Amino acid sequence: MTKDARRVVCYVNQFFGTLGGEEKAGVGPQIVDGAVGAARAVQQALGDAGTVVATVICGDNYAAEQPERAVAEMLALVTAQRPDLVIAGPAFLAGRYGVACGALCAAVQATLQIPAVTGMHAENPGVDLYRRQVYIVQTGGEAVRMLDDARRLVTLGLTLARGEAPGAPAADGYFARGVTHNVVVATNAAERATAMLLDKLAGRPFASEVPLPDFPNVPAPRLIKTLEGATIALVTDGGLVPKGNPDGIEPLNATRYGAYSIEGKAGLDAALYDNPHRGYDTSFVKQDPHRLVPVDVVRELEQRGAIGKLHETVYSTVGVATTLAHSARMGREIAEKLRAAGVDAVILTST
Amino acid sequence: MTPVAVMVGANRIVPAAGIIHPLGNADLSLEDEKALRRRIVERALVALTTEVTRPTVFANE
Amino acid sequence: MRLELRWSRVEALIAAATTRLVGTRLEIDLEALRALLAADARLTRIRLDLVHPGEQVRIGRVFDVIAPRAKLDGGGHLTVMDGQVQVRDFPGVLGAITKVGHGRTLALDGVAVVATDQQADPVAGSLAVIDMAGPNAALSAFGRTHNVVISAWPAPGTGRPEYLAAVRLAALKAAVHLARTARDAEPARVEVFELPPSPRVPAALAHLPRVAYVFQIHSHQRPTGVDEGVLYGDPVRRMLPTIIHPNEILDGAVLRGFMGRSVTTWATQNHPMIRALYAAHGHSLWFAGVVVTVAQATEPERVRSAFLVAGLVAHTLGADGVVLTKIGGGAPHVDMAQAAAQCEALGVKTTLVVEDMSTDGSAEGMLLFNFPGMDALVNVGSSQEPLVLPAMDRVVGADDLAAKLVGETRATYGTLCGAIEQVGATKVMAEVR
Repeated sequence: MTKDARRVVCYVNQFFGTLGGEEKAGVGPQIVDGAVGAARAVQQALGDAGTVVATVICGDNYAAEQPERAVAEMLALVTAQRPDLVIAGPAFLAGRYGVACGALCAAVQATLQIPAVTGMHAENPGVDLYRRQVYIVQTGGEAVRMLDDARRLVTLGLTLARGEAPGAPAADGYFARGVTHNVVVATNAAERATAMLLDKLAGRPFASEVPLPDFPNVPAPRLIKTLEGATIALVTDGGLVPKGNPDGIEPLNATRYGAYSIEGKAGLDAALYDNPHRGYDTSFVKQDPHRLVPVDVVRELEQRGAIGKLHETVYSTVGVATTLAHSARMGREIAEKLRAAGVDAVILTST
Repeated sequence: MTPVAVMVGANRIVPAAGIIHPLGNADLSLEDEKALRRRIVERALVALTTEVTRPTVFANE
Repeated sequence: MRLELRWSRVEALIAAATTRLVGTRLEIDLEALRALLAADARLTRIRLDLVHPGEQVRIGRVFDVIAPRAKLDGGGHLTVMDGQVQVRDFPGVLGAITKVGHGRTLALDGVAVVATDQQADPVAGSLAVIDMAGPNAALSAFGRTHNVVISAWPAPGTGRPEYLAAVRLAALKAAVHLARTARDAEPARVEVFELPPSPRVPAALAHLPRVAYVFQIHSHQRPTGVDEGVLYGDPVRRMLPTIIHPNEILDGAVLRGFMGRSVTTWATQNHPMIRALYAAHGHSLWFAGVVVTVAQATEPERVRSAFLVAGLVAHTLGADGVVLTKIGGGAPHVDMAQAAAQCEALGVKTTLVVEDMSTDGSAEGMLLFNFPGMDALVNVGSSQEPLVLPAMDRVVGADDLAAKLVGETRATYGTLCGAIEQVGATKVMAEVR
């Protein structure tokens, strides 16, 4: 092996490892010296740039039924080979195989801190699960162009092994990982916008610089009780906090929320509250917190019997530049607490 | 921010009185402000008891 | 409307006995300039620093950056009274309210006036910086200009809005003062901006697509102060969309308000979208005109504004396509998207310039809206992305923060003034990988 040649370990399933078909899908992880089965295409694509020192084979059912154990066992086999690069698959449309490829690559990156690449078809469930963490090369649905796919896997893998940054997803043939990173391009945004509009007007293709977000549907719950029997809680993302912000809710990019008692209170005393929210002018709601959290009005409704009960805890966070991930997590956690406390409905005030 | 609420999939949406004072209005007297707050909260209660199948805005009539 | 920008190039900036332009060397009598700016009772103690590209200097507490401009003629009636030339620059804020956008205006290339904010609480706000050397210098125009840095402190009793108005005014005065040195110079280059009234298209060019620009000039997430002029000095508080000539924007009619998220007055004065549309005008498009609008704070106002914008774009300017930019934070995204959606509904194709709003680098967090037809988006980068500010030799404009700012600091792209500009002035882009 030349001095720059990389030690590569491949992972293939029972079929691509020439053990057999579905009848062998239950075999556990095993290792074979050199390149076996589909890994031979990887070796061919590597040429002098690297050597497939070993091939790990694992049955798809074993990988699917006990994923953590399978990955741990495969990882151990990989580690012992001291590789510079791991290439898994390609898995094409085989779902169990694709998910296992993604999982192994993610584990290799995290534990061994060496690059790992895999490849599969766009509809393989492994893509959605692992695209953010793992470089996944896009392949067709079948092994017809195996050598071609192997070449693209190897090219990307060697780039990563050399510590170089890969090209844009379209250029290098991998699925966009959904991460954004500032770069400096050749023309300013105004010029690019003008050019893009002219393309759009002329019916020419153009590449939008921002993917449109896709939010899943949330089924709408039904209020089972009547209002007169219901417990209503108040929640806000407008940043209401007690003076001193005891929970340290961040004024921007919040990751925390607070639970504040209004038990026995007819309203919110402005002197006892504050507001660190940086996304709007908070002077009006500081002057009168009811402009944000309507405790006064809802308490009256409770006293009149129009609603059953005003829940004694107000949940609050700061909703400016909050990540989707943290927003969803906080929402879930608050919802669980409210449900455990017997709350039936929520009025959420958002700024 | 109603369009954002529709987009992210919130099912029951009640437009309020502005970002800086969703349930108030500094230009009104305290009494009128409270009346405004009551009206918006009452609309929220209507929304809570209305069956919906997709993001629905309960707008001011 | 024919505007002539007469550019003189500055390659050196020094303190001297008199303020004058000698070839490409700008000499400034700092004491005289200081005295001119100190005449404002709202300010006390004014300090001027000259900072040059390549110096290991970080400018801190940056509030805004102004490009030197001075009208030679054409600003309404520029008269000489009692031997004093009547100021017509930055009308409604510095000069008298008068029409600008035509005639001759002096401009200096290679120099910027940087206004610092000595009153802001560094903990509550994230104050901007400019790096004059190192990897960040190239990310912003101001790492490559000779900068006249103004530090002024509020006089006792001066509230925040008054202080910011005074600081901005001082920077505008300095900008005019410096540009006036070029009045007798032979310009290095002259740019002519001439655009006839929108309907008057010569037959030979009638086939060109008509493209308009919707320019969001302020966001009412924070209402403007009484002294916070944006459009011809008006604080645009209840502004409904309206049409102005692009030359007016290039000639000082529009300034940035006091909230500076990823926008400087400099970028407005050197407006990249207007320049890009002018450059293509008569060749690949007909520049149909500019609609100015503000981002509203309530939904009804936003809806109304969107309809009015679309009407002006489609029915008055007769545009086939429109580009839109925003100012401010997340809520203005929605204003811009609603206006664009209404334009698309009237058959006008849109392209929007957005800021990557993601706070965790995830592509799904980039946008806060999703309307049909919003398929052509250009982004100006992410302000939230981390950026390392390397150690420097000294800090200017932020004495109280110098000990911290001089060393290596972890900041964000948004901290670096001029790296991210919402009107599209820079080449930074958030790439989705």
